[in-house]
Amino acid sequence: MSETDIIARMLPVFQEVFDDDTLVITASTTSEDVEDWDSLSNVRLIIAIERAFGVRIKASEVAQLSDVGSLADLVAQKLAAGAGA
Amino acid sequence: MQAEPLFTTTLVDLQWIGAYIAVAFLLILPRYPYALKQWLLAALNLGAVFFFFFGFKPEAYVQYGVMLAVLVMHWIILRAFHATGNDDNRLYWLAFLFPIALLVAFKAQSTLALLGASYLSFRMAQTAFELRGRPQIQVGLGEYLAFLVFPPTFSAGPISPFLYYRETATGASISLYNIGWGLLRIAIGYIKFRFLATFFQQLTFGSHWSGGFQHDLLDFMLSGASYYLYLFMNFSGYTDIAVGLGALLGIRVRENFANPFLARNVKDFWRRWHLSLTEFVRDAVFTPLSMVLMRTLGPNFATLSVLIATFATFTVLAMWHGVEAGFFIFYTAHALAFAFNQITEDMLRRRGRGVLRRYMDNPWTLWTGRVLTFLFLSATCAFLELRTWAEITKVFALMS
Repeated sequence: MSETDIIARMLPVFQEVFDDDTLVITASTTSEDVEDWDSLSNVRLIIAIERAFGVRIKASEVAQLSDVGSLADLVAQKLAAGAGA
Repeated sequence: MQAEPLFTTTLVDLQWIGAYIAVAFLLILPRYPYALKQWLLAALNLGAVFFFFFGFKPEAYVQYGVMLAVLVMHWIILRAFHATGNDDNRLYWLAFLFPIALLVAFKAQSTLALLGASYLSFRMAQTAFELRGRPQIQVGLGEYLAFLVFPPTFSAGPISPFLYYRETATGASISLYNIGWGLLRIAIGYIKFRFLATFFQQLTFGSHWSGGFQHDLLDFMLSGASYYLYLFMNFSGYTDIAVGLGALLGIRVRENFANPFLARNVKDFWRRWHLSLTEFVRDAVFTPLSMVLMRTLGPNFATLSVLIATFATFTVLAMWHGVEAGFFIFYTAHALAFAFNQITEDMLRRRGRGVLRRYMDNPWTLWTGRVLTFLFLSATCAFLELRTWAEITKVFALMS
């Protein structure tokens, strides 16, 4: 699955967590670009992404994320590792 | 009763600061190999830290020796961690908890006080956290020592990340612009640290309440507000100096404040105050704990998970400062206010799309929130200054 496909699948998760149907995300979207994206909603988002994609993300990996693209890349790695296992 | 600053330093002697900067500049500027440059900087920083913070006293030699041994031991653990691709859980926890356990041990006894222990231990734990899952990053002993005992951040932070240091410690960031900007920050910091902090100190409990006269609630709030302003000027002034000194050498130091007086509530305040500490505790305590709780309890208990993690995080912050009544009252009040803010926001969010946004955008709620937050900070900072139960009861006795 490409980064674009993953971001497209992430969009409804973002819209649900941030309660905004008009929200649009790209690979370069950061927490600065989304209202209410703070450390609390970030945890909600990560857990929702885990459930949506069936992956497990470590807290240390969360600290290294810089934007939506890096989150999509991390999910892609997890999916690839899961598929290869 | 005495208004003891939370952040003190002997690093205010301008000619010695100038001498340190000049020598460090000469070491960083030429194009030596990175490793050699870091060993030279480590030697300079270790010498400067001994001179500035320890001094030539018999007990200082023991303290300094213990500190050096701890730093080298932690580097050895990091080396072993790197040999596993920075991925082994047991070695990670050893690298993370070793400095924290030592900090607790140092705080629990009174025989050996280690200057800067709190900041050093968090810098070491944070480095382990930064390296985890990044197999390509290996830390050299020279650069690790130079980073840990970098004099501007040694005794009072900020807890600047190791990766910030590595990115900029090559000297590539030295420029006329950075030097000018650094000098400006040092000047601003010096004015805050030496003059404005001293000014606000005059009305704190230690100065204003020392006569034994009766006082009222207004006096209490005035002294609390003065201590809040004093803390900000003292601590942010020191941070300005540390950031400015780093800029002179092209070394990036983490900013620590983002206009805390503009905070609209307590939750917002903690996004603006002592950022290097709160972000580290957020990443190392709040995020992992709330993730575990949310996974265990399920999405219906998201708010409860966040609240439990919030109280745990504030408990860690209180214990980091010390096991005294004033710290626990301050952080308990802040945890409760933080929880109140979170529950209120969740309720507004559930009342319909756009309700929370309209509430946030309303200038009346914004400015009312800012005033109430300042008053709350003033009231709670009083307990930071009074610190012990005996001092707190003494002040309340003067108000009865």
